[in-house]
Amino acid sequence: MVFPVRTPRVNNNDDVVRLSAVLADVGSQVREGDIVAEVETDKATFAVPAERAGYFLKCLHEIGETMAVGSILAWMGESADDAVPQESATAANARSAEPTLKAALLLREYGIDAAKVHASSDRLSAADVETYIALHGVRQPAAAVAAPAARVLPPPDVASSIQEMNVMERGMLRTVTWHRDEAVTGYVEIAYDTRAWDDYGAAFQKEHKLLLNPTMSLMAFQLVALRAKNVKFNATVHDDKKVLYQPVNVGFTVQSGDNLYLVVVANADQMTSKAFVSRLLALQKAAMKNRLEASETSGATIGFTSMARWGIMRHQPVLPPYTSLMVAHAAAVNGQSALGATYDHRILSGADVAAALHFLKDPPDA
Amino acid sequence: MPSEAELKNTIRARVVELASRLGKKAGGISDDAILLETGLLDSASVLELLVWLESQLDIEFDQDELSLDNFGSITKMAEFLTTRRAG
Repeated sequence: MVFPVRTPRVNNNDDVVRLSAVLADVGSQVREGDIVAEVETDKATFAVPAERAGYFLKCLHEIGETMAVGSILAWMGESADDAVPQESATAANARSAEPTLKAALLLREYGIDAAKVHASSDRLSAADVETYIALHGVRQPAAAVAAPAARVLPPPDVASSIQEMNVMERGMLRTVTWHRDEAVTGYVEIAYDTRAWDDYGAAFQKEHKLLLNPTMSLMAFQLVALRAKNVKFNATVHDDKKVLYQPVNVGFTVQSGDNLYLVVVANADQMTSKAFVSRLLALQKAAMKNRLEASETSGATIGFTSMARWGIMRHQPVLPPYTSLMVAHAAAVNGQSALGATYDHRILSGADVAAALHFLKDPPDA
Repeated sequence: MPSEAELKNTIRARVVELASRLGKKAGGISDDAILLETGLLDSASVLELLVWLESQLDIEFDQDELSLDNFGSITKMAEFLTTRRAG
């Protein structure tokens, strides 16, 4: 008997994902929980585990191909000799449904037959049509403005070998590319006396009998209060509009060996400071074990990073995709340090960020 | 199961390695020194040490267990781990 491996949802905003790796060999035995493939979006990567034990029979997609969330990614079977169904993944998932008005307009605009499009519910939605367009690479209408051709530089003229980037490297490439191509970034910093935060962290550590110094976690938690000062700190720009996030999802960088993660404390605005510190500690541990779930590294709405442990006294962080503020914490010398921030100038001004840094330099109630 | 003395040696070697990544030499560290007060390791390094111990000993620490009494020094860690594994 055969059974499908479905394409997972990596985050709430993406209905399609891209296949980045197939990790199981055809005919190989797979245990429940073994990772058989990796998929990615522009924001996150996700390991696809086998939901049950069996044999990996066939992947229906090529590396780099986009797939609709919920569609069949691959087939597995109870034996290595099981026959893979002949229907294509798209046909297997397709069903006829009445299009919504918006979907009908899209179908007409792109000249797509509604019967070919998979409906995710009783009605064929515009999102379904957009998924089909993405999956099948349907071209923009002739009237659409052609995008400028990407500039491709020649390879370096030095003896070299070419290697594919791994998942982490691709993630970093996407992040810095968003920073370069989408945001209009600026950087400002202030000097501040660290003693107020040091004392606050030490008192918190003593009160809660913590082994580890919570000061940096508490500084990151202060981003929740910052949002109350100005909602644009917890926002981004998309399609020439401000996107003001409802939750405060605090991104926090964690270096684990060669890997740099941005772990995300989701819904930090619903937490107490103690709960935040505890959750961030759990995420840091998971990062150090390379056991983060995709949802734990995606959806940041504001960010905090520190290079203090390496003695770095000033650094300009890259802005995580779809955020407007990334606070940079640095090493202190004799109780003095720099607190900086990279920001998206499309939505924040230097004066906004200066005010944010002056707010963040002091702990609550200082 | 490693003895308490063996655990101390293992933990000490790991502390030296983690400190060296921060550009610090911890070869002479006392087993009774409070790690975070030595300035040789920061909180992230101590967390790395805990995660490493979890993987080496195939155990998982509850956050409630992460206290100075249990993990403050090399000696306290070795004592706690010996007790924990025996329990």
